[in-house]
Amino acid sequence: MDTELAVGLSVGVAALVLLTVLVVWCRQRIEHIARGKAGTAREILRDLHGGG
Amino acid sequence: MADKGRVTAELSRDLTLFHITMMGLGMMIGAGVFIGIGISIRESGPGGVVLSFTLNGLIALFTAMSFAELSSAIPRAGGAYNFARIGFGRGTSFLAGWMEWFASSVAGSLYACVFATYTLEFLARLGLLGWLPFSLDAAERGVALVIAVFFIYINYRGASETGKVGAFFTLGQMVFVVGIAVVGIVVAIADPTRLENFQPFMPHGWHKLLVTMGFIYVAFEGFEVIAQAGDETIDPKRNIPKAMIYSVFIVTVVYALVSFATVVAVKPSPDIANPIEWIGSHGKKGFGAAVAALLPGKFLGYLLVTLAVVFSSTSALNATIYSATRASYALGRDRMLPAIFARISPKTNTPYMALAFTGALVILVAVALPTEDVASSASIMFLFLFFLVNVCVIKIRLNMGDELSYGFVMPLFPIPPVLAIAAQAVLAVWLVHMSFIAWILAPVWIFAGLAIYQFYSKSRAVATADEIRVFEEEAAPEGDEYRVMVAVANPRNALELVLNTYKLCGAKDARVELLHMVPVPDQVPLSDAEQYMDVGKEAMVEAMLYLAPQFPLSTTIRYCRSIARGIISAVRRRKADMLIMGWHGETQARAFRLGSTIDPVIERAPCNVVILKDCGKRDFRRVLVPLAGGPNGAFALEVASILAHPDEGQVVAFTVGGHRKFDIGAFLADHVGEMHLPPDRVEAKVVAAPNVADSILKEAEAYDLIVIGCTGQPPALRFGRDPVPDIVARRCQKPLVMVRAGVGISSFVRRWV
Repeated sequence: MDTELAVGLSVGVAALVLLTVLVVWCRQRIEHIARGKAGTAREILRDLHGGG
Repeated sequence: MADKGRVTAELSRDLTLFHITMMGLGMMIGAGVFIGIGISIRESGPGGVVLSFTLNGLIALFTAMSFAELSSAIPRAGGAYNFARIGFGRGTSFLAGWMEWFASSVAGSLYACVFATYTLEFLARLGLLGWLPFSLDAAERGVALVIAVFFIYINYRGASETGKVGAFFTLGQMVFVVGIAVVGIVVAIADPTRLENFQPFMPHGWHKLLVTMGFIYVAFEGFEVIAQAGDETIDPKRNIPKAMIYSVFIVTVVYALVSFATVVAVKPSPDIANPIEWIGSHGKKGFGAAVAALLPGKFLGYLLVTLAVVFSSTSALNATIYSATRASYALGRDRMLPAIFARISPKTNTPYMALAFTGALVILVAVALPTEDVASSASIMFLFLFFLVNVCVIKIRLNMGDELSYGFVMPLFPIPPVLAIAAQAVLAVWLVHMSFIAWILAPVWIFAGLAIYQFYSKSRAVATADEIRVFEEEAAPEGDEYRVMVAVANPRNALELVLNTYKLCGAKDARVELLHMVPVPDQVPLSDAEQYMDVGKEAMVEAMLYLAPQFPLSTTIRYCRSIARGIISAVRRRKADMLIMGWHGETQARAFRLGSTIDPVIERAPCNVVILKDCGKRDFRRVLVPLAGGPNGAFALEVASILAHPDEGQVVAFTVGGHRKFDIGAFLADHVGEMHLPPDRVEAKVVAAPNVADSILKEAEAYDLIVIGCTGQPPALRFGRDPVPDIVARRCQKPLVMVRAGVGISSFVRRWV
């Protein structure tokens, strides 16, 4: 496998992995907020980080 | 209790997550992918095309997160136009609407061109176009014109597919493209020699990757229309952000697999020495040619591709004409464009003049420009538009994050929008290598918009019913004078507030801003809030009468959902240096230390905070300042020295020894210069006692006023124990002032990390 192909594959796979992680993360946030209560950005972040 | 004789109307909410995700997918899988693959293979090679779709998907996801967050916080929003209005004001919102109109119209032109290209190609392969007296290119222009006119007429009649019917059309498209992807993967597994098509991976260099990414960005346009279905969606705060993010994810994976399938579709043969060059040589028809080679029987392959393109491009054309018309209609309705744009047909109830102008734009671009330049023009304008939305999400979160109610906040803020902004700027610049015409057309359109706004719209724009009053405040003040904001709400507090404001402003030579917070229930639009204004009006007038003769004074009435959020937002927007507000005493709500308004204000207001409790018309001769070395001690001493009687006032800095090493004498020596009393009227007192709060309360009995700094301990480190200042504030029967010094950047870090 030449270097260009290896770099290209790595970039592509990394992008897809990052995409997947972000989608899962966003989904968890949406569900968490939906189970609780909508609020200001700070209130939501505090709730998400378990600060009460 | 029901109102007698009152008829209420509401929209039926019946679109599910599936329906609105399909709506986004249907808009995205329009035509960009069909013409983009062949051209991208030609420009950046087999690796470039797969990487272009994958990396663009990441940028699109960042932007989808911005749209999802803004749509969840501003549910009445009409997309980029309203986000820009709330984030930056009318000028930028005009530009957003102006760009949205062009971007959607040109995307419509692209879909008409792609429809024409693929249908005529199919007919040509059947040998049905031999009779044409003119070139195939001219015939394509003609067909694009006809299909555009047809859908302009459909839009004029007001017909459009509903969410549910549209979902089934999209499902059909999805079955086709996913089918191609699956066949491609199966073929590659069965015959691994096809993977050799990926070498060389990027024959024309990595810089070409940026060119093709910019070119095919239009294939990721469409998820933003999901927000328009908010009124008809079940559980919109949950489903709309999800649908935006899911649709971008699904489309990215599908595009990556379809482009992979296209690359491995063609094998070397006596007729085709280099499959990649062969696909690239077909340009915008490269995808169709490759897929026809992939499926058994070339006729079947072309038929399936043509059917998929016909379904995709026509549904996307219909939707983009509808979107573009709505964008120009909104500009006309708000008088940012001539009122003629807002005219409604009495016969069909559609904005027929906005549609006519949109139709003219769609047809002009489709007929006059080559398809590649049309695609580049659409891409570049969407890049600019999404760039603006990513800037808006940062501005709105920072300025109004404490005011708006969010249903979704993106992770890693602000990294995703910042990365998207940078990537979109680079891709827009790089598109000059693909289409010089697009790079002339887009700036010309934007500068024309700026000129129209400056010389026409600026003086004529009108406030609309849904324009939120709180966003109409005057601009943030200039200059570096000290600004004191006084939050007046309760008429009983007004007198004590203004008397003490008088002293504090006098000492600081300050400008005073009276702030009247008017809370409005969630069920009532802020635009209808005037009925709630009477409460507190009397207090406001009284405060103005006292302060106006002595200090530069301005008054702000602010409608809000939450008083605390409204105050914090006003402090930030008006750049106040000090906030003064009253406190009635102990809270009944157990969830709060001091109160539902005071707690968040103390924690988050980005300025010095002074909270007055029972500080009526009194001369404070003996002032107690409990100190323990916290971050607010120096400010407490300064405020005490200001509020103490100017001739006879005495300030006692008090500490309870034995708990920690705090040298009160050294502390006073360090800060005596900041005090507004002679040094001989400031003294230190140290006592030894087991309970700090009790000791302070006992000492306080001999004083006229207690000035105490708020705790500097972060909430996470309190372990459920009440800080001493809170206990003293709640139990003290004497006039009391709680202070908290503004902490600048660290407060920002605490807020967001």
